[in-house]
Amino acid sequence: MHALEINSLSKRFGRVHAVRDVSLVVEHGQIYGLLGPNGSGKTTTLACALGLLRPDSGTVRILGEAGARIARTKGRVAAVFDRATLVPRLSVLRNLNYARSLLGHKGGRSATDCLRMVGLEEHRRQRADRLSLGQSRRLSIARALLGKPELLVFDEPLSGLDTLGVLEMLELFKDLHAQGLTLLLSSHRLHEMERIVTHAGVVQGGKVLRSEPLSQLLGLSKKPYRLRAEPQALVSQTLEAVPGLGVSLHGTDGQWEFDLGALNPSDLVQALVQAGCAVSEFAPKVESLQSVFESLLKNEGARS
Amino acid sequence: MGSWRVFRAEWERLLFRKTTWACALLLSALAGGRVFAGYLSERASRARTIQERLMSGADAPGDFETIGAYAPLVDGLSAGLTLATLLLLMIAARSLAADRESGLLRLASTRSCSRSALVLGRILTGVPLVLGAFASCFAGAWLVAGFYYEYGPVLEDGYELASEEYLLEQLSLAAWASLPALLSIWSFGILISSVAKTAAGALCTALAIFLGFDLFKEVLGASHYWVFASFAPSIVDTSAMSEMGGIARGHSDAILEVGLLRMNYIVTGAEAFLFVILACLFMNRKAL
Repeated sequence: MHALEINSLSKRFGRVHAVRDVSLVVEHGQIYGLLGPNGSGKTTTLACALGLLRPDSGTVRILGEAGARIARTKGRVAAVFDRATLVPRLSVLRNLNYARSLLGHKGGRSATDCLRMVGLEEHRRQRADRLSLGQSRRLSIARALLGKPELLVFDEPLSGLDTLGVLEMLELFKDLHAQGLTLLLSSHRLHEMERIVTHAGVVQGGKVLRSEPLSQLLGLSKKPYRLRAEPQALVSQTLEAVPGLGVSLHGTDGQWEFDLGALNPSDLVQALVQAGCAVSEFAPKVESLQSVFESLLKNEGARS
Repeated sequence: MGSWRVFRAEWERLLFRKTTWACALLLSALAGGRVFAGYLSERASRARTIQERLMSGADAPGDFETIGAYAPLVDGLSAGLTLATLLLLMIAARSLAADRESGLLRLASTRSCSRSALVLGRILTGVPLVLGAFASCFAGAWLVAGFYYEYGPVLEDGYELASEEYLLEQLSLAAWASLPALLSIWSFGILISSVAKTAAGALCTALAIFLGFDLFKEVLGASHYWVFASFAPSIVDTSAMSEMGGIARGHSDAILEVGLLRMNYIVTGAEAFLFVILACLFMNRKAL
């Protein structure tokens, strides 16, 4: 059974096609990032998955239950929304007790445990409307951790947080993942998400352009390298002569990018030097999620 | 089970809010204050009578007929319940709409509460609130009435117009008639709350409909009794508690008609049930 399975999900708001034929699978133990710019359909997809919106077509199964019947998961799914959704005049602890009463299940993590996990223990008596944004977000997460959730869904968890807040939040996500929880995060902050997600779905215009493990998405199974050397003719000649080198791309201004494949980097540098080439730069080319996203957008634009 | 959980959570939330206790105090104070105002008015009226008699050269009257404590008690109770009606309507109307606005309903529905349970749980919350509101009004009015007046039968020129047993019996009938009316007001507020997009919108709509009906209900003649709001204590009061005011003063034409009481229970009960069903339907169709 998948943690979440979405098949051909579509949702329109009047003339706006918010989600178009989205399909994706989140397995247990993953940190899945649903990534894309604002207005790309992430939140609508999550709302349909959580049974908060009725999709026009398609199916959703969350921990084996249909999205509309999420109540049957008996608290094994917990969601944290971009707005803190706290009861403003109640204290931190009372907010958790309120959620616990709603949850109704005995056992699992206690309110104190949850506060400790998110580092809010000292603020337990403080009113919720007097917390900072980061603290409110942490309280929302503490509330989500009550009971025994297996799948945590976060909608834009980093929005509005400062640099330190973002770093703390990313650490918290890592901790939660290490404790065996499955996380589904929607965010437009690709750079930060790249540091924690294990799998990613890139969303644009209501469509999932790609949904893969992060390593695959970034092409980390390959070994892309960048070379800067002179003279160009000699370098080209040398590279072509190297057996087992992947597709060589002849760049401009004395720059080449290629897949090293099974070849040892030092062997290639040695061959170039022995051939009389002056190597000024030879380094692995690191793809970022941002660059992958941009190239996906370019491809999508060209296709349409 | 889901409804029970929502009820418990909501009840705890209300108990820990200062506003809830402030409302209870306000109701008591208003009910007691109404009794006290009646007492002051009565004393002023007596003083005027004495002054007029003395100025006309006559002797001041030696003794005044007292109305007993039940009439002021009912006046205080009516005043308190009128405010309770409006407060209950406002709290109910705000309930779901405000939580939808803040996103709390999203939280609840993703944490194993069905949408119908969210409505039913809040309907259940109305029961202790209605009882609490009634108890607050009764306590305030009863204490102040007992302080300034004496509980006993209604007398006129030494004759007993209404015995204490009869008054208590009628008072309990009027009270029992008010409770389902208040519950139907609560259900109506929840219905409006389930439809409205914002808490402010829900509040304005509920008050506009209720007060609009209250001001124009007499135009409808006797047929206004087919609407639940006719039986709730209000500004233009046509509830059983208003009739009870006459009974407690020994008015011969004041009576709690059995037919009207029956209608009170049936109309308020049936319409409250309808509101609950509609609220569940709207809630299940609306985006959270």
